[in-house]
Amino acid sequence: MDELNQGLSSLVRFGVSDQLIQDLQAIEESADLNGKALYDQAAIYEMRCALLCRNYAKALWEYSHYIALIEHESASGVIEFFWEQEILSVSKFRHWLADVSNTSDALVEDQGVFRCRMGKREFRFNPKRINLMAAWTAFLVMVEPGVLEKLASFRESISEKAIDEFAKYLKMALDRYLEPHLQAVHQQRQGRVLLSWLQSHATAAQSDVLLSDEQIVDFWQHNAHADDGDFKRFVTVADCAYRLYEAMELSEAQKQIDGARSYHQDQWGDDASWLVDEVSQMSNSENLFESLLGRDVLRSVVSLGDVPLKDIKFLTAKDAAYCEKFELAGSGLSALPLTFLRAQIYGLQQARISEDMRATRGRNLRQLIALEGITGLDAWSDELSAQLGRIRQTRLAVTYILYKYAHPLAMARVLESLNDEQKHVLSSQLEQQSETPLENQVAQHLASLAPEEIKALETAFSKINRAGFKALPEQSQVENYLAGDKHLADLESLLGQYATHLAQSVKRHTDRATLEARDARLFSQTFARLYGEQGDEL
Amino acid sequence: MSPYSDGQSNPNNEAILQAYGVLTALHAIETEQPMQAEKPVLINDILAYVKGRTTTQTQRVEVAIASNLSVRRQYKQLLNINQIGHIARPRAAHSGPMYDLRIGEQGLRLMLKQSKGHPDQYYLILELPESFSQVHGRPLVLHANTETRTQRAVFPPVHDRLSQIILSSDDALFSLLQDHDVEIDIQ
Repeated sequence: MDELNQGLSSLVRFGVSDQLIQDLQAIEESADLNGKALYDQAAIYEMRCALLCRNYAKALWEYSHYIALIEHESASGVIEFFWEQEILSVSKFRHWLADVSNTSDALVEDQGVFRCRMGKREFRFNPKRINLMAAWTAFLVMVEPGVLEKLASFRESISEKAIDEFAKYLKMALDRYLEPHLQAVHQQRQGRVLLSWLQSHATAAQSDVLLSDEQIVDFWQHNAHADDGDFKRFVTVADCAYRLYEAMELSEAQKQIDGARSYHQDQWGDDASWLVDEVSQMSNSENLFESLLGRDVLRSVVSLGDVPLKDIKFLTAKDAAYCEKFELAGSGLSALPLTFLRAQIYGLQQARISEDMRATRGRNLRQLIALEGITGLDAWSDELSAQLGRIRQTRLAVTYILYKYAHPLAMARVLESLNDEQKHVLSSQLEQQSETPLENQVAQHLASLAPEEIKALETAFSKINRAGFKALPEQSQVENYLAGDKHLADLESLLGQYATHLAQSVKRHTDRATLEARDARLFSQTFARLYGEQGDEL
Repeated sequence: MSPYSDGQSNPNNEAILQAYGVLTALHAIETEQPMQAEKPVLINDILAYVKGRTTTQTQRVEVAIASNLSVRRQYKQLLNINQIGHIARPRAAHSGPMYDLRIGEQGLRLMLKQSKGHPDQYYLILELPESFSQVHGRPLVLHANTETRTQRAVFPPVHDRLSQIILSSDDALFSLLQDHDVEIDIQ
């Protein structure tokens, strides 16, 4: 693990980025000129809990009151207040509050309690909180330097509205900042919740097949409302399920390796294997991480979008986006075909609902919840077939380019398409030649023997109007077309296999129409529960 | 088992969740994680730098101001908050052999005078107009900035509207003061 980049280690271990840990640690280790820590442990702990649990809205609201008052009443502003005048302790802040209350109409001291009237709101200042406020300032300014400019607005006046707006601004800045740094921990929590639920709801008969399409949709129905885990979006649940499926596969593979290792050790009479296992358990995730980091995963869409294949445009942007979803689902795609389908059809509808609520305050909510005009299973299957058709068409065009340069792969593909009689004729023609036939000669024979097949390739080539297919490319480019074709073949296989799995899954249900009707009812009801009330209010 | 228990009660679950965690981390790294974690420069360190104090962090702050946009932003804002004088970039090109005089807003003057005894040494003289009487008797900090370089110098307390330090022609600050694009703040 030491050889790994440090930035990766904490992400693997705790789901929190190393940068965030580093940021918090730097604040914790801040000291004054005498080496005394600037912030006490309780303040650091409270701030860290709020950040790591993503539970900081109230803390920022409280913080905004302290900061507004300090910026308003202190001659030199918040930053100098904390780090020039060093008002970081309870006693210093209490003195300062007492001084201010002597001159300010808004701040009043009553039996040691400092109350401040801000518009219609009365806020109580607790001197014990000042160290925490300083720690928050150090963190927030680092996250969003714009905070310093915003603070200036409190110099002239303070109002509850301005304070609330400032708190909202801080929360948004923090949400934005933490997204990449805490995403992993959030997703790990989701994985735990999903796994626990599946296990607790599995019947004895299902115990070996925890993850199924029906279990996933059932989970979503029961957890879309729950605060824990953030499972409102069906797409989130689907992504979580694909990853859990892959994790199960990995752990199973690991178990088999361990089993083989254990057998090997037993054979050699090594009864101290438990000791080895203790140590290996600790570094297991690091090893797993390292091995996965270099794994060969299917990322055809990404490869086709990289230089030098990018310029050829093997896929349109729309097709690339469509195919990428299949790749991102990983091995879960074939195991959970209906979940993927539901995520595409109803996940999109859910996105439409969210967008409608944002853009029109839910004007079209009822129609959207009723799933009016939604693309059904048939239409979706047609779209999949059309996508497969476009990939095949592009591959035919690539074959034409290869054929023009008499590439053996193109010859092999045309040969495959010949019937037995054509193959026999070609074989005789080639036998008549005294020397080993060159590719060009084979190409000539094929042109005369199978003009329709060659014409089909040419037609495919001429139909594609993307950058790399407008004219016959130079021979030096042939390797790029070969590489692109390999990725397209992988995509064709992925989508084709998925279509087969989907058909099998649908067949297992009573019939297609019943499945579709049941899904529609289920999603519509859950959408109504999730969004209906908000729609009614509007 | 409760639906919301931690799901780690058996070794099989632990293995699954471990793999799940690894896959999640891998995804985060492949999509949006920065590869290098750096120790951050904090606002108190930047303030100390602006105020002319030398701490263990001074060198890091100087490097970060030149290389980290967030730190530079904080630094510039602190300069604005605490500023008592400012000399903007000259609008016209300078034709003389060296920049030996810069005049700021409200008549603030910054002069370079060569030492007669040691020609490689220069007096950097800060002359404040009457209106700056509030800063008399306390040290001043000069910050010189271009887009890519930052230097500062602490002047002794002002006496008779003047304060001066000695610079060597090898000093980074001397070379920065000869840059056409330098902007100067007095704290």
